Formats: sequence, C-alpha cells, structure tokens
Amino acid sequence: MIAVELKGLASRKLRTVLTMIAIILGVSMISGTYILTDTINGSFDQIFHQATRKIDAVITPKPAVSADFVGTPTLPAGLLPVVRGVPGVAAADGEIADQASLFAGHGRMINGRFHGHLRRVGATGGAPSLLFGVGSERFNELTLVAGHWPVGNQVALDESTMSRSHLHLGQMVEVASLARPLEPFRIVAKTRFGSVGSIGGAALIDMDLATAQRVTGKIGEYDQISVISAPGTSQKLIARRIRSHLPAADRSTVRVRTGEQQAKSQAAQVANALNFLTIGLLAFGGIAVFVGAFIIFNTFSITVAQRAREFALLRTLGSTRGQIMRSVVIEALLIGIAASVLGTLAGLGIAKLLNGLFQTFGANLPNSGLVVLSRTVSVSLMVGTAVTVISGLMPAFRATRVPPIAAMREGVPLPKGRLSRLTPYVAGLITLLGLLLTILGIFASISSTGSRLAIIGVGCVLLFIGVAMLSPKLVTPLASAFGWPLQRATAITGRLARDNAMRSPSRTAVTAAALMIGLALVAFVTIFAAELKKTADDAVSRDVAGTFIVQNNQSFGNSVQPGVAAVVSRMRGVAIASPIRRDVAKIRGVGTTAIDGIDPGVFATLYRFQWKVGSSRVVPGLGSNGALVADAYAGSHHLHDGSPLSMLTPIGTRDTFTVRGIFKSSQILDNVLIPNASLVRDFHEANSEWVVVQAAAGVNTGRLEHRIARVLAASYPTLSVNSQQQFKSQQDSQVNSLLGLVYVLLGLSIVVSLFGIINTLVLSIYERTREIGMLRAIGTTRTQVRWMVRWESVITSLIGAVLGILLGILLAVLITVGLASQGIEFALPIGQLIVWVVLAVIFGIVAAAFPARRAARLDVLRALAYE
Amino acid sequence: MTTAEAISGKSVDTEPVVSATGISRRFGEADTAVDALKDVDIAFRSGGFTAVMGPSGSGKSTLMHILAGLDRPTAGTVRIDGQVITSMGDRQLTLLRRKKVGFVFQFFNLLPTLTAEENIVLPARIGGTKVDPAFFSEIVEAMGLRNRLTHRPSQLSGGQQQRVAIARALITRPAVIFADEPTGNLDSTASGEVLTLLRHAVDDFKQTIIVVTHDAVAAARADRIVFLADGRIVKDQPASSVGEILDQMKELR
Ligand SMILES: Nc1ncnc2c1ncn2[C@@H]1O[C@H](COP(=O)(O)OP(=O)(O)OP(=O)(O)O)[C@@H](O)[C@H]1O
Ligand SMILES: [Mg+2]
Repeated sequence: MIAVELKGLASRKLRTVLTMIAIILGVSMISGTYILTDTINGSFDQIFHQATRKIDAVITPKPAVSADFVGTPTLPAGLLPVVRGVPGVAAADGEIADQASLFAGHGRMINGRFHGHLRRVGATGGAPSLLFGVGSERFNELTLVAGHWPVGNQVALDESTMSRSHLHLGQMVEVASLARPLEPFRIVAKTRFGSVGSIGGAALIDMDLATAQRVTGKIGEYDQISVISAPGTSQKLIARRIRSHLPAADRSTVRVRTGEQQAKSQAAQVANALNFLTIGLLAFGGIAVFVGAFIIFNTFSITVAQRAREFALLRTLGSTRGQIMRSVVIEALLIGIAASVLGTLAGLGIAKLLNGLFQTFGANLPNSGLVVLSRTVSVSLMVGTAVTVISGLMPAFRATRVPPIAAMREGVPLPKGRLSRLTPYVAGLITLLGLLLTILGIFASISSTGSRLAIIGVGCVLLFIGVAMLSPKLVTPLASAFGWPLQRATAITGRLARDNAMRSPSRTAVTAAALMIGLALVAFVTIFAAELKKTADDAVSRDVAGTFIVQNNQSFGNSVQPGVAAVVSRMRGVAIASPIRRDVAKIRGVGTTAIDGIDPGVFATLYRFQWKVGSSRVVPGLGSNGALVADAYAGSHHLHDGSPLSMLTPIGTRDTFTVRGIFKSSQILDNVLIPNASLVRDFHEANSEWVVVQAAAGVNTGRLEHRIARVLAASYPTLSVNSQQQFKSQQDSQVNSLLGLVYVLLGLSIVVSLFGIINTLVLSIYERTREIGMLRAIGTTRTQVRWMVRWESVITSLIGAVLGILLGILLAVLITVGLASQGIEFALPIGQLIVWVVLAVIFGIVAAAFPARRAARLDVLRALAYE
Repeated sequence: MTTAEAISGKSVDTEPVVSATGISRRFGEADTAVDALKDVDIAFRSGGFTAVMGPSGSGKSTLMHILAGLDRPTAGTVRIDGQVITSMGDRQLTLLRRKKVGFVFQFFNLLPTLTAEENIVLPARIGGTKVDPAFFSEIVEAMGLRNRLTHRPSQLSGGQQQRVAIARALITRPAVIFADEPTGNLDSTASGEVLTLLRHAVDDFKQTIIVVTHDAVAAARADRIVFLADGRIVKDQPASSVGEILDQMKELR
C-alpha cells in the first residue's frame, strides 16, 4: 500500500517537493526556535556554573521591589567583616560586577580632556561590556593568559575582545561606567573566562576592587560577597550559618544562597526571560505552519480533482471509499513525515539565522554548540505531520465522492458534498466567532496577558479560516476588478489571466488566503507601529518644552551618569539642565509602579503638562514628600488630591508621599512623579533616564547643541544630545528596528505563501497544457505566455494583499480602540500600505517566475498531442 | 490572372505559398531512431484544398507540423509565403504563425473561458490587431454561428465548436490553414458540415487549406490528394472519388 503511494509521490515529484517546502519552512522555524533558545539557556547555565564553581555561598542584595528597568541595589561594605566572622567561613570577599563601555582612542588626553576620535570597542552587536573587580584572586573566574593583574588605572581584558578589537598589551583604552565620566586605563593583562572562554561575546573588563568600586560609583559597596567554606562545612550549612549571623537590619535586604543555588537561580532567571522570546518565535513558526496548512489543503484539493479519473477507475475495479480515503491520507502522512523530518533538520540552520538576525538588530545572545533536545524533535515532527494530515483530510474525503462513472467520461466535475450548501453559512459563522473572540480578547477584563493573547490568537485563526472560506465568493468580483486594468493594458494576456484566476474560485481563494494571512499581520504591525510612533512623537511635541534631551543611546534604564546634569547646566548658553530619574516602588494598596523623579522648581519650564487637579503652580511647592499622579492611573486606583502614597523602595525604605496634583497622562513620564531629591533620599538612585536641557534665551541652539555634543563626546561618549526632532526619530528608530525584526519573522509566512502560489500555478498550467499549446500554435509568443501566467499570479497576490490589508486594518482598529485608555492614537499609514500592495504585485511576478518559465517552455507539439 | 487571384492578391504562377524541399525528420537516436519523413519535396499553391492521406504512422502529422513551423525537420528547407522558416528562431516563427498560418485541431482546442466570438477573434487579439467587422460578420455568417456568438464552448456541440475553430483560423486571413483530422472527433453529419465549410473557405475566401485526414469522404472534397507511406510521398494526384480513394488506401496498407 505504502509502496504504491510512494510511487505516486515520486511520479508527481515537483508538486510533492513544493508541498513539502510549505511545511518544511514552518516546522524549521519551530525547531529552530527551540534549538536557539535551548542553546542560549545551555550557554548561560554553563557560564553561571563556571562563575560559582569555586564558591560555596553567595550574598547578594535582595531588592524589596524590582523591575527590569532599574539596577539592583548594592551591599554595604560593612557586611564583609560580619560574614568573615561566621564560623566555617574560610574566605570571603566582596566584588563588583557592573556594565560599562570600552573605548579605544586615536587621540590623547590633554588637561583631562580627550582630543581625537574615540571608537567603541569590545562587545559585538551593541551589547555593553562587563566590568569586574574582585577582592582576592581566589574568587576571580578570569584566568590570566598574559600580563599581570591590574592595579589602579590598569585593566585586564579578555583575549577574544582584544583580538577582535585589535588591542594589545600596554595600549590605553577608555572606560565609561554608568557612574563616572570617561577614564583612561592601560591594558596590562589578557584573560580568559573559565573554561567557557567568554560570556556571550561581551567584553570582560577586570580592575582591582577599589578601582572598580570607584569607577562604578560604589565606594564602600559591593555587588556581591562570595564565600568559600572551611573544609568539612557543606554549602548548605555555611549558607544557613551566614543567614543566622546577619544583622537584623540586613535580613530583609540581603539574600544568601549556596553556590549551586545561585547558579540555578541565575539560570532560571535567564530561562524565564527567554521564555518570552521562545513563545514569540514559536508564534511566528505557528503562523508559518498555519499558512502551510492552506497550501497543503489546496494542493491536495487540486491533485484530487486532477486524479478524479484515476479514483473512478479504482472504484470501478472494486476499491472501497475507505481504501480511496486511506490512500490519500497515507500520501499526506508520508509528505507530512518527510517534510517534518527535513524541517526539524533545517531548524539547525534557522537557529543560526535567527541568532544572526538578533545580532543585526542589536541583541547579543551567547551560544555555543547547538543544543537539540528530544522535545524539539518530537514537537516539530508532531506539529508538521499532524498539520499535513489534517489539511489533507478534507480533500481525501472529497476523493471518496468521485463516482465510478467518472472513469468513463472526461471532465466529470467532482460531485459537491451533501453539506456544501451549508458552506457559506458555516464560513460566516466561523468568521463571526473569530471576530467575537478577537473582540472579547481585546476588550474583556482579563488579568493575564497570556490568556488575553491566546484568545485573540484563536480569534484571529478562526477569522482567517472564515474569511478564507468566504473568499471564493469574492474572487470573481475582485479578479474582475484587478484584471480590468490589465485587460485594458494588454492585448490578450491580461484577459486570459483574469479568466484563469476566476476559473476555479476556490483554488484562487485558498492560494490568496495563504498570502492574506501574512499580509494581514504585516499590515497590522505596520499600522500599530505607526500608531506607537505617532503617539510617542505627539507626546514629545505636546508635553516637552525643553530644547534638548540628553540620553544614553547604547543602553537603557537610568543610564545617564549622575554628574551630567551638573556639567551641562554649567555650560554657557544653558539655562536649565534637569534630570529625570526613574525607579520603581510598591505603593501600599495600589501596586508596583514606575516612579519618575523631577526637579519641581523647573518642571513647568521644561514640560507642558495639562492638569486635571491642581496646576503647574503646585509643582514648585511639592516639598520633600509631595507627589503628582497621572489621571488615568489616579482614576483606576481611586487616588485624589491629598491621597497618601505609602511607598516601599527597592532598598527597603518606606516613606509616605501625598498626592498634590493630577496631570493628564503623558507618554513622556510615568504615572507617579516625586521630587528628584526625594528619589535620591529614599531610592538611592543617582543615575537618570535622561536630562532635559533648556537653552538660554537668544542662544543659537544649533551651536549650543554642537558644544554640548563635544563636551559629552569627551567625557560621556555613550550619551548624545538630541533636539526634540532627533529625540523623536530616536524613539521612532527603536520602534522601527523592532518592526524590522517582526517583518523579517513574518516574511517566513510570506515565503510559505509564495510556494503556495507557485504550486497552484504549476498545477493549473499542467491542467491547461493543451490550451497553452494551442495558444502557442496560433501565434502567442513565449513572452506573452509568461505574462499570462504572471498576471494571473499578480491577480491572486492582489486578492490576498487587499483582503489581508483590510483584515489588518480591522485588527488594528480593534486593538487601538482597546488601548485608547493607554493614550494610543489611531494612525493609518496609507503610503506604507500602498507600498505593501506594490510589493504584492512584485511578489506575484516573482512567484510566477518558475511557473511562467515552465509554461513558456512547453513543447507545443507535445502539448497538442497530450492525451 | 484570374479574378480570384486578383482579389486574394496572390499569384498562382509565381512561388507556391508553402513549399518543402528535401525534408527529413528523425525522432530519437541511434538504434531507437525513427525516420518519420524521408527526403520529402512538396509545394502548395495558393487557393487550393489539399488532403494528406496515408496509413497510421506514415508521417502525415509530422509533415504538417513541419510545414506549419511547429516542428523542425532534421534536414531540408520549408518556405511559407516566400520566407524560409526552417532557419527562424522561436520568436520569429511564432510571429510568422500568427500572421500566415491558421490551425484547426482534432480536439477543437477552444478556450473554455472565452465566448465563441472571443475565441474567433483570439488570434487577432494575440497579435493586437483590429478585426474588420465586415469580414468578421462574413465569416460568422458563413460558419452559421450568428446566434451562437455569446455561447461558451461547453454550451456548443462538437460540430459547432469545430466551426468556431475554423472561423478562428480564417479571421487573420492566413496564407495557409492546416487541419489535422478536423473531423476525427465528429459524427458524419457534423463532419460533412465542417468539410463543406472548409471547401467554402477555399472557394469563397480563396484560402489555402491543407487537411490531414483518414476519411475518404473528406479527402474526396479536396482539389488534390497527397498519399504518404512510411515517410515518403507515394502519390500526389488531383481530386478523386471516394471509391477510388478507398482503393488507393487499401493498396498502401
Ligand atoms: N515525438 C516523437 N517521438 C518519437 N517518434 C515520433 C514522435 N512523433 C512521431 N513519431 C513517430 O513518427 C512516425 C510518424 O508519426 P506521425 O504522427 O507523423 O504519423 P501519422 O501519419 O500522423 O499517424 P496517425 O494517422 O496515427 O496520426 C511514427 O512512427 C511515430 O511513432
Ligand atoms: Mg497524426
């Protein structure tokens, strides 16, 4: 039985291969995602185990509140003697581990100022470098390859960074930390990170502990204390002892873990963070598989129709319906298994590609030696095979409906199923259900984002299936509409293409639907990104009055150094330079929220906020414990003028602020604002998110910007000064690079639908061999035949594109209405959507390349002699 | 010059419309090679109705394909309307067929998506040329398709479909029309009609028509009958009666 099917597949090689590609691509994305994230997880595991290999216990700060946009607090140096005094502790020392940037200069420092050109070196793909300072070499995971351990203004760098950046021992480099201006260091050593070699391509900068503390602004503080226990004292025991010896005041802000626990918890943290990436990438793989399902369905439907006579013959020879059904299903199963196996293997390549992709978009993920878990293989194989078989079921069922009489006559159409009458109603119902679920997912109050997205996802899947089922009815009018200009513009090719596209509406509809799905999502993200940009840009124009914004373009989250506002405000021509400090707090009865620190005295000059309660005049009088809150936030948490806000800060301080004013929500600042001085006092936050600069009256802003930029370049090369316009484009470019990534990932689904079009065209051309032969005989040139095929492809693509873009607009409108309370503004980037339509036309022409060639190359005599 | 010649603008005494000299056609290679045509010389003058006959496998279709520029001879030259077509590239050949050659096929080969009218004017549209409405009308009238013009092929009988195909072949006023077993798929009544129409095209429209046929009745309507056997022309004679033709066919078998 299977041998017969294999032979059948072999005789239809091209279609089998094209069908398989549709599944291979989606499956490879699934398998590639797993391989990539497992590999990254594995590498981090290795790194963390390496880092705690020699260590029995680790003491780290435990922030009372945390968020990924703020740094963690530090340990007081006074804790170290306490730990050393714990019985069973053989050695303990503090260490610093922080972010920094490394620069190599072609120039010289003159009078404390750098003259020349600085080049950022070290980490690849824009990742920050890591700065280490360890109290004693016993705890250092870096091993010396050459040179000697650094003292004072000396650094050791890892050998891969040195060779990658062409640095050599004795050379001067500049280090920019998040705390201090640029400082010169001499490279005195070359290192290696344990047996792993490096940490995901990050540059590893090693200094002596005191220097590291000074450079990172952590004098008298540690990021971590590592402990080695005396022989015979177990990791668990020593950790327990240290815990019990901690001063009562530190118990809630300090965490003691065994070396093993520390490695595991860090790995778990990474795995948790990566989970988001895994799910996101799997979603794109899922979309591609979903699109592939349409192509499988279509190919099998066409094939079954073309083989109607064969089935009829088998039926007259005594085959039962069950046998016919089985033969088609087995064919689907074989294709599914083969494609899934190939797809799983191709995942290895996809994992590499994805990794490269993330590097291009600025995210650097460590990985070494691809990790393929059995879960990866089983999920990929199952998904690919199941989807193929399920997509083949309907066509298989239709094959059983071929009457034996069809063997006797030519061109007996497949009889319609008994239920086909109901199809439009079922399609309508599915569409409606999909729409309802999508709306439910957007508007219903669901607390978990995960289930919200899942409901929207299922809704969209149903919506797509429903519209695809309805679309055969739309093919005829749409094809006539799109074909009309072609028909007018061409002698005959446009007309024939239009007729061909309309000849089998369901075939064209399903082919177009595959593209529709990809384009609906592309259109949606295009619109949504335009809305995000518009919202953010409008907020800047509306709410910011300052001339410039100084920010760190290379890392986010409070990465403007503490001294910057002071340096800039002292400059000639600068009226005000005021930082925004950002931190997080848990407000009793309200929840965890981001808090922004402002300078009350100058707030009204730098920002143009609108007030619901109070006015800009209340801001200067905030005192040390006044707070301002956004109206939407105040509304949903029942806050009003005079409400107390009891805040718990990351360092464990509790302080109460009082609402003094309610402003209209702004995309620029967070929901709760307190004075900067209070933020420094209660949160110990010295860095800032950005610094807003107001030029003095009558100053040439262009020249001022230039001067500020020069000062920053010399001392704080990670910072840049932006006009409002530049700030906007800076924000836009962040959205754009994410958008680019999403486009690339959606591109996979579009490529899958490309194969769908190719496959349908090839099968249709095969059916029309005689017609093409006749056309060629009576004087149709090869070029004309090619254009006939191309135009058909273009019409199909346009149907998919237009339906897709309309669906995309619908989804975008729904989401925008759903997010209106968050301040999202509606935008319709007509120009970009038109670009997608134009690209769809080009897509159609590209998809037609191979089928058109085949059609044009058709041997006229053979085509006419056919059958 | 006769009046007919004056009207069609073609001269009988000068060059023939289609001529082949020394054409051979070999299919396959080495030991499996088949010589479908062996050194055939033949010429057709304008305005004639020629029937090509012969046993199955004698090379009739091959000859027709080569004369029509659909296939290339292994050796020899073919001229259509004075032009040597055997050295032409595909594009040139296609354009030549478009202008100078008409076809009528056994299986009609109409486009199912087009109406009868659209099928008839298809060659003109492929060439991007205008159809003379008077000429169109004349052909439609002659083919008896006046009230079938808006029908699609699936709504027409075999005979009607073949009449549409003949109209399609006539519409560009080609130098020559080739028909490979045009009645092969029709019953005798429809065959008779189709032959009458082809005859009509020769007589009234001064068309040159070359028909490959197995049907002695069909061949009897021609002005000239060419017999092929085993890739060679074995007899080339003027019109003859059905009985005579049948006898000759028997001889060849
Ligand atoms: N493409 C081809 N490849 C190989 N041999 C071929 C090919 N076309 C024709 N032949 C051979 O050439 C010979 C002549 O074929 P042709 O089709 O011209 O015969 P015919 O006279 O038209 O026959 P029929 O009356 O059956 O149509 C036959 O022996 C045939 O097998
Ligand atoms: Mg033949």
